[in-house]
Amino acid sequence: MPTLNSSHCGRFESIINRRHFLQRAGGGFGSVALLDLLSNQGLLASDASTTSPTAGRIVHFPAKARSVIWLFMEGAPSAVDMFDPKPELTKRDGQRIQINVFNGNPGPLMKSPFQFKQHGHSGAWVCDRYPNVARHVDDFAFIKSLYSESNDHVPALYQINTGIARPGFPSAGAWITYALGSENQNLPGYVVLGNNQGIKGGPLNWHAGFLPSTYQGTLFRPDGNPILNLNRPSDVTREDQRQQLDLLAQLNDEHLKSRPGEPELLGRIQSFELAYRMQSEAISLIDFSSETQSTRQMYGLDQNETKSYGSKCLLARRLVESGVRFVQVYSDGEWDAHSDLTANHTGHCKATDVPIDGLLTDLKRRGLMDSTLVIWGGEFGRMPVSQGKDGRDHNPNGFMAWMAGAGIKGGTSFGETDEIGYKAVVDPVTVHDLHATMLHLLGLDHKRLTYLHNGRQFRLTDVAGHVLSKILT
Amino acid sequence: MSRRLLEMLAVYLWCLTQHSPAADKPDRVTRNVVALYTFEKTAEGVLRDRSGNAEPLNVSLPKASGLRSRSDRLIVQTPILLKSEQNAGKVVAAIKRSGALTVEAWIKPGDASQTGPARIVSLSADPGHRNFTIGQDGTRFDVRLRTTATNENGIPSLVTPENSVHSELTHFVFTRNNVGSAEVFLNGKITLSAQIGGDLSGWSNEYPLLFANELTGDRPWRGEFHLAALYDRALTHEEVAQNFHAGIPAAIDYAANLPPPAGRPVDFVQNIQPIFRQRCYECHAQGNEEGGLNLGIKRSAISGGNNGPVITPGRSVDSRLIHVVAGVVPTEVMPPSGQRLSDEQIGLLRAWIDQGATWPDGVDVLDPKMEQARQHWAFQPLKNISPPPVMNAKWVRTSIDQFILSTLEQKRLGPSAPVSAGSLLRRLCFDVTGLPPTREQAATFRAAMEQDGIKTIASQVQSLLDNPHYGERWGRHWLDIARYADSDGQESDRDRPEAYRFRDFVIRAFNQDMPFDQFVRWQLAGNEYEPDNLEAVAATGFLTAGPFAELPDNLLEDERLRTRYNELDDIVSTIGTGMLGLTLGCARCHDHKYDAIPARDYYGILSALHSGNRAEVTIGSAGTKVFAYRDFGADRKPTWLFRRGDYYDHEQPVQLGFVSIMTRDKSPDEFWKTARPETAPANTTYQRRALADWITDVDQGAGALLARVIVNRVWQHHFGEGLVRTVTDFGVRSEPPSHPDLLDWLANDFIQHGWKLKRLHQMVLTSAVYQQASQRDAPLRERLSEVSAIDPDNHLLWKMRPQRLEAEALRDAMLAVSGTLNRQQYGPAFKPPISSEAKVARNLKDPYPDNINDSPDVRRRSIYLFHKRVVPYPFLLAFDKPDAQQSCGRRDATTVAPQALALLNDPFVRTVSIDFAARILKEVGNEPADCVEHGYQLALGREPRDSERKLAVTFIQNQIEKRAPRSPSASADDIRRQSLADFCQMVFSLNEFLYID
Repeated sequence: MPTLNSSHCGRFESIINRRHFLQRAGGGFGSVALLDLLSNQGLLASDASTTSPTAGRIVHFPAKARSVIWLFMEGAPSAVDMFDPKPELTKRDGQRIQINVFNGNPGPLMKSPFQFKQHGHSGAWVCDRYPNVARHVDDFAFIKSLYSESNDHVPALYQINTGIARPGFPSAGAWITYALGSENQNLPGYVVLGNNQGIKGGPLNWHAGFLPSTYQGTLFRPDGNPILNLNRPSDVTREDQRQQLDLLAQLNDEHLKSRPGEPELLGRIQSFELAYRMQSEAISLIDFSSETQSTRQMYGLDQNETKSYGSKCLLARRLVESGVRFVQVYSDGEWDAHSDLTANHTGHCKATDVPIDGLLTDLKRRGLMDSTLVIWGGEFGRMPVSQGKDGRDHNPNGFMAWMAGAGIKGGTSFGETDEIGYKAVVDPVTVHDLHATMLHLLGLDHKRLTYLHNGRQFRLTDVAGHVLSKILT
Repeated sequence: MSRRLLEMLAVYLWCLTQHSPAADKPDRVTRNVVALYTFEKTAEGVLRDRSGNAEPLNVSLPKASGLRSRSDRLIVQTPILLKSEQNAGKVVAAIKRSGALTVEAWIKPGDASQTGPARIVSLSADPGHRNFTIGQDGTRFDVRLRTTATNENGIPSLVTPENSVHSELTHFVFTRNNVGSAEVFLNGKITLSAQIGGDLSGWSNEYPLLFANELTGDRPWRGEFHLAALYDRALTHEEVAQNFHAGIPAAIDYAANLPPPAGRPVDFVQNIQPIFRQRCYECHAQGNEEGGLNLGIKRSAISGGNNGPVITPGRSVDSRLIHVVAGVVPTEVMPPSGQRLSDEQIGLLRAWIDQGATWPDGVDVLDPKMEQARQHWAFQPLKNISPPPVMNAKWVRTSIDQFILSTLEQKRLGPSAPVSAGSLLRRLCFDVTGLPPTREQAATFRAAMEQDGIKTIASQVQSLLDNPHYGERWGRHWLDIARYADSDGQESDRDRPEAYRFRDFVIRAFNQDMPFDQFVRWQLAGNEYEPDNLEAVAATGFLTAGPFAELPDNLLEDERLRTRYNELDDIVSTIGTGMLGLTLGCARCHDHKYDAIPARDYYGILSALHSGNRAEVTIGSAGTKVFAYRDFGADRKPTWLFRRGDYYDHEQPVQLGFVSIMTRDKSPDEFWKTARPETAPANTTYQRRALADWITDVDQGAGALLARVIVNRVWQHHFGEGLVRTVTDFGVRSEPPSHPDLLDWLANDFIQHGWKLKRLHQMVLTSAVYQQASQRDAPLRERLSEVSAIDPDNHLLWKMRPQRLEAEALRDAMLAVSGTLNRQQYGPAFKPPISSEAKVARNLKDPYPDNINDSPDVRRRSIYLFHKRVVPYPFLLAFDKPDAQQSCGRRDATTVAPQALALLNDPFVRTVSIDFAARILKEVGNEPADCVEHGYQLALGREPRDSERKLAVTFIQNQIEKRAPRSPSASADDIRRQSLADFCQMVFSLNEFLYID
């Protein structure tokens, strides 16, 4: 019996039909509820299976998660210094081994500068720089055997975001928004909370690739002007704009009357009203005044070191609460500790420890943890050997992430690297596996979520990927 | 009544209902099943693991008289050993990982006297070594589980009370969780509960899974097996009860579930092979042979796949082939995708097998893809066709019309009325130049149309094609295919200040009507044809236009190789989809799944590029720099076929090669010989020239396909869709052309007349089909529903399709209408201002500049706008400009609110709206009615209707009244301009502005 999953070139199909048009119209940022519109007009009789984008178009099986918050530790944190201590590495501290490293010139094995303790019922190890995150380990499923293809940040970032270590492919968030639509038509389905320095590789990390551009991640800033083009021109008031839109609607209406049955025209008329509403809704999201003092403290908004990441975590919760499907919360600056692991990781732990604790606590308190998948991790890991005085070079051969929340079996750990933390050896996990698992929790079969592009049915997981069922409830 | 009797009653009642589909039974627990056997009758000699978990752990069924197969059970009457084909590693790994397990079995013991314990299910090596065993010891069940707290034999064992075994159908379940609680359930009820301490770390992964005996054969068990399952967790009490109530899956009655065999003699070649060819060979013939099965070759087909025979001659009921195509087991359906075989097809297959599965010699299909490719329309030589006759000859303007009308007449679909003169001019101008007509053009055209329509249109088309803006419009379409951008992309995203010379080459080539075959040749190998010609060298920018990462030499070799072969793949794939409409990239890791493109062909083409790379090349005495492709020298670099695309796994060396299905009597080597000039300069290999000669060679190479693909692209841009709608894929899975004869006729005509695009445009633009109205009710209203029923998506072109302006055309049109378009052509790209929110990338070598001011320099046409890959211009991106990472043959046309936000709030839109207002005020004065009139003429090419005029005038007056008190310091002129700009901005936002009728 051939396996059913071995065909990546997949099926070919007509690329232009009514359903296709509808898919392009619905589901992304500010998509118009055209499907409802057309159904109401009886224009969809031949395609009754198509439903409203707000309800989600593609569901393969019941979803455990409604949304995802991806705490993205850009620059690659070190597993052996955070959650995966290696006694053998401590023992062999200072020994030289044969090893190829990205920048050449590897140093000797280097033990972690941090102290570790076991936490929770599960007894998971956490370093002393993450005391608040450590309180949640019984909710975590650790994946300690991830590996990726590239030793270089940008291809690795592209891979963890899109599955492929090359630019130009749709990101996981774009695939998910394409499949599931957005629960709030006034907000983007996929939001990226970046940082002021920018992300290596830029917007291609959250692009829609060959999916319609509406599914790309929208960069959302926690202050000022959260989305592009949200502020009116300086010489136009809200009232002016209302008048403009009323005029536009009336003029468009005349045009529409002589062109019955052109759904695009109707959809476009709606899109202006949606844009108008969006302006107030998006801005209200970054207004934290409705949050209590204790909530703000919980996220570390009262401390300088934690304020930035805390604001993004709080915004992430508000977004998820408002129906946003997929939120990525990038760390500020990089965990790319080539020369100064102690200082670098201490700083990043400090900046994220309280905010992540706050986010997890808040999600639980609000009952959102049952419907939200939280992921923590970077684009690859770091070497067991030193670089410079106390740095570590890139290591794509073995790194880790944890997942928590909807559908995740807490207090578990999957896979292992070798005894010094160099390479995944027990149950190695690919980025495709990570994506397959993410899709699975959202009710999507990664083998069936496909899109025709340049003659081929593409998948987020390319030709690979297994759901990590061991870490699921 | 005793408890046991009650339980038996339950089982009995359940048995009564089990064949009733309406019985309200729960589903079995499926989560964490690691192995599952259902023991139904099979002709295969294999007991299949139906868990769906990882690799199936199948169990061999020996041929023995004491082993009886019934539809729903397996009966063991004499000592027999059933043993898994491999060791049960997957089961052991899963259970060791979780530390917990469940063993479940529906069995009927042969009698209550067998001892040993007699092995029912076992994972063990011999009577002294095991992971676990479920056995029967007289009237007790005996469970041995090895943990670190027991010995290697799993002793002490766990034993159920006396009298718990009966020769009845029994549901037995043993569970043990990861902290050691163990339980035994009989018929859904807990019978025994105990602690088995320790962990499972001592389990061996070298034991097979056994039924009915020990591996050594000395602990036989007799009885019936109905179902057995292993889980890698302990089922809960509820779940055990659930499985009990779910019962045994209904026996599969194959005979009852199969469509009847066809009642006539069946011929293999006539009736069977076409089904195989159409539905099976994709996976089960040479090249793939999934599951080890090849249905193309008699010997292989009859011997079957990895799991044994699939055809049992004379017995279709027992043939696995029939079971899977009929989909009797829902999880085992073939073909796995697409439509199921029809009952008629299955009936034919059944009759063929029942009649003895006769397969004549000499009809084997050795290479089905090649066979299919040989018959595929896109690979045929161009047919010499004459335009067909039509009834309504008066309607016909060019030969194209005959082809279209003839089909419409056959379907009784009349063409639509011609579009109005004003709309036609607007359509022509945007289509050919991407800019709106001027007021003067419109007036002249309308007047001339009243005199002589045909002549006026012909001369208008000619003048538009002569207009230098034509090359900017159509060059832009080609730049999408060439994934052209002005920077490297990747992390550093270095600017490519010289890349524009390729863009300029493209625009000039279109404007000069360069023969398309030359256009293609130069883009592949311009420097090998005319090394000193700047344009020819710049043309190779087609190869260099993709993303590129410059990596330092000291970087890890693996990283550098990966990058290099990804870049070469980008080039091969772009040549494939862009020029040939073939997904060559699919053959990088394996032979193409559908098309006759073996991996060898991929690496043969890669060979042409492998000896060179991107380089900044200096040309001529002026020392002009060009971003071009250049070989490293005269020596060809060795090239290999990489197994699975792995550049460390050299399967075999390859020579320069092309797509073999389109390589006829002239070999790649001969092409290469011809390509090398006698006195060849010693700095290039001429392989790319050989490739270019082949790709444009109509008789010996891919020229016919090249012509079909470009003609189809031109058609797509004129009509909104291609004759072949899958514009980037002409392979066997493409959509067939809506008008195959027309496509061939056009391609033929195109080649015969020197590959001239302007001639093709002229024929299309002056045709009657192009001049139809686009409204849906353009045909007679009373026939609309009828027409819509016959061809709802208008494939046959009974009307024109309205077209949405692309991002660039929208921006250019706004600039043109506002009177501020800078029409300067060619030269380095300009960078428009981009707001800081859209510039979020770190580590760029050439960061996007801040503080760019609005000026005429940044008001040039969008084709000259600097496309920085990592920081694309947001306004164009919002309107679906492709990201230039891969070749794009067809743009999306989304309708989303961020587009509306851009039109409402983007500073660029507001600024050009104010400029538009200023232009109107300057040209017609302050009177709102005049302003509205003029604005409509400039932007939409028509007068406003009374209702529109009234609405607009009222709006402008209201805005003036509102704005004046708000800004007391502003002059009356400023107020008037802003208020009029409020209106102008909405004109830019109108559907009528974006959609061209």
